[in-house]
Amino acid sequence: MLRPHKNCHQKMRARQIDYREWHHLFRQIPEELVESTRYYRHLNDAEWSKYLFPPSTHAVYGNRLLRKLKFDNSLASLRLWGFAMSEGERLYRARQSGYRVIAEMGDLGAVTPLVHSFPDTISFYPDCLWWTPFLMESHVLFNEAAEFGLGEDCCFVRAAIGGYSKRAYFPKPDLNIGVTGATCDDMAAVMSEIALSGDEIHWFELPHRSEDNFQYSKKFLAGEHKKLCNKMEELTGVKFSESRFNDVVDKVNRLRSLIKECKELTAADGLNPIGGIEMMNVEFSALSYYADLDECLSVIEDFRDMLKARVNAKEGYTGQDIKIIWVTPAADPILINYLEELGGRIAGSEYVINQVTSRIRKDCSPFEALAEAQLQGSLMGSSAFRAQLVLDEIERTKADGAIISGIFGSSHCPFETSIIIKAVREKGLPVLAFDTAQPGKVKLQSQIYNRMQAFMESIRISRSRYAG
Amino acid sequence: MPGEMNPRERWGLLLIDEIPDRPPVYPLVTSHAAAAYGCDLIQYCTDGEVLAEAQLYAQRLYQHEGLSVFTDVGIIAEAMGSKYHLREYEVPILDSPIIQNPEAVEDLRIPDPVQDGRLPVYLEAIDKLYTAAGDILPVFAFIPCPFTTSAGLRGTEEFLISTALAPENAHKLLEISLQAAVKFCDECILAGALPVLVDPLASGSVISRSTFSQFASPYTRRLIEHLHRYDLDIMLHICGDTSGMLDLIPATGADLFSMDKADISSAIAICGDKIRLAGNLPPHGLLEVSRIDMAQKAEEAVEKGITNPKGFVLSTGCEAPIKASPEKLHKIIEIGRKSHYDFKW
Repeated sequence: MLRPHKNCHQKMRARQIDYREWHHLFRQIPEELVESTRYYRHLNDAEWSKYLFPPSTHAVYGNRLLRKLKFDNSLASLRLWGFAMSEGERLYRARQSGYRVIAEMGDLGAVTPLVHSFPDTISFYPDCLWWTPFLMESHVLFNEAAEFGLGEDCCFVRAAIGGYSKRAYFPKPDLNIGVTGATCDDMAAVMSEIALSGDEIHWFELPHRSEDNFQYSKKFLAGEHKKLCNKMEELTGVKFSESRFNDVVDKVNRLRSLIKECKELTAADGLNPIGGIEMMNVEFSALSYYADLDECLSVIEDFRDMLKARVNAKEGYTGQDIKIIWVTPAADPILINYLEELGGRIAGSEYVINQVTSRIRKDCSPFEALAEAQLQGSLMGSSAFRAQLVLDEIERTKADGAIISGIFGSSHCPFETSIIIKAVREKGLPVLAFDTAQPGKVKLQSQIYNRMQAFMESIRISRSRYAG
Repeated sequence: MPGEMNPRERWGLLLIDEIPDRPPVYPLVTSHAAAAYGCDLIQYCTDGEVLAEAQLYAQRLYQHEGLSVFTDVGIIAEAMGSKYHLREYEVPILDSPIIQNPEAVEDLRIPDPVQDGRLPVYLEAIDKLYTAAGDILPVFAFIPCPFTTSAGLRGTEEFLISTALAPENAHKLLEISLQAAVKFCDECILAGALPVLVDPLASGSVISRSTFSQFASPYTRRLIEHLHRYDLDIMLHICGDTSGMLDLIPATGADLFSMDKADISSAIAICGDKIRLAGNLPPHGLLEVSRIDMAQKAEEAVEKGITNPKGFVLSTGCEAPIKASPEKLHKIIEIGRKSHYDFKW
């Protein structure tokens, strides 16, 4: 088990390094550590289960953006990267090892504890394929989506249908769960196309959330979880077990509390203790645990320990002192590096996954508990709710400003962006909003960089005025 | 066509023990790319940009499924001081080895891939290919194994004699050749390529099983161990007749074995449960004058190869000849592209 005290880089000053430096540093990591860092640890003879490898390994297999990114130089971060980047292979290895693989599409994540409570079952989130075109600097998946009529007027989540069509990014799921109702229109279109192409989908309806109908929504959602549970029983031939479910919930709650702790440490005063991309990897582990809950817990715990040690020792990156809240996950991770290069740090975030952040209750029925957590979802109610999430993050982190990285064509972005901008400005803080450029659109990308530069300069000037 | 896998996706599945739609089709189009592109081999071997352009041109022409950065097996030995004769229409050959007496081994130094010899040509070509098409096509860098590099440093005959009469000298040379290969592999990886190890001198046509086991395999294995530490899947290519040493190949640690003269069915029976196989169409059959029915050979290879439990790549047994017939190359690639596994999703 990797623990920070064994971290051979702990004595190194915290800083961001490139893939080249990681390639050479990697040789200093003791062999036994590389050998023992594995997923699916209970499969003792799995020679393929190692995952502690540097970014250069993943770059050789086509993830070209990794050659441009900056990475944190701690072993815990390398482990996190290795774990996240190996998820695609892990899904295939899961299938080869006899696991059931479940696809959760749309604003789910909240159903993952239920799915994982069935034996030998793991899940993944096809929507997350939206990062693949950016990591590979490639149009392959977008071009594939275009064959189904989903072009640039649809959110980057359209990459998911490319994954289904190409059959080379994940094994055929044993069950597809798709959200309908109060969910993202673009993903709804993607799921419709997947269904029309012949993949059966178990539809899970999200009700619209409002103060007035909260109890009704909760009851309705509990019913949807019950229906999903029946489907899982049918699929696995195993009865739902409350005891197994509670075991999973304990772990999931532990994971969510670790992520929360990491977020708090990230916002601590003093030097920026960690990179924004690493933190994004941490936050997204809550959706489907990168297909291995036990190992995910260990990875995030290790990461939290490293962060804690840095914050306690007042260690971090120098020159990144402007606290920013990032709204909507950056489909192109290099945007986060740009911010850091310009002297910013991501102190807080609203990554549209609020449904996987709260603790799941254990003092009520499982389905009610899941429904209640799901009702915290970022996108299933008014935009004012989401704007409030952003304001809460600003309050919590004492941020200097907010950046909203929207997606051209994404149905919710144009509507809620102006509402969030207004809410943040009313608090007296500056906001920068832009649409993320597609891979390869270098000139658009440089415009975004210029705007970020001007934004950061304006914050700095305004700070010095007030200081004066 | 919607739903069709690209080469990167196909290779990706193969390397994680999944069955793709069909085997990758990857004849070794190396120096032949220069002929197809219309440049001479001196340009091709000394200018990374030309090498990359020629590879891209040939790939567009033939639609084979990988880009190959390879000039000659002396690339490391030359960077360490051996002299190679570059020729316009043939691959470079060893002119004078740097080691003229055994003591001179001590003076050898590990070359810097960024500046010594023609190693930077490789790095430039890899970078350009990876940037141009690395999302769709894997980029392979052909790296000579320590055994072959040692021959380039000492001269083939002298080196082979030393394995019998002065093995300690041979081992010294192999050790430094290994270090040079490790350093060069690292730079090729960082430029974006997956190393393919080539060991033409370790062929059963040249050395015995015993020499292979004592001098070639251990250093190849150490090089592969270094690359495995980075979780890279490594193809080993040995030219000539390897039928008598197929059982020794898995011990090198290679993940794929690119074979020349050996029967595919025998290879499957001997090591098919441990290693993926690539091969093995006779390269000389691609010459215009050859009477070998390459279409039939390709069909036979596919029929046998797809039964390999660890997977198969349709390839040539060695480099496609510089003067290969484009029609024949097209034909074997077409046959490979029509093959299919019983792929169900």
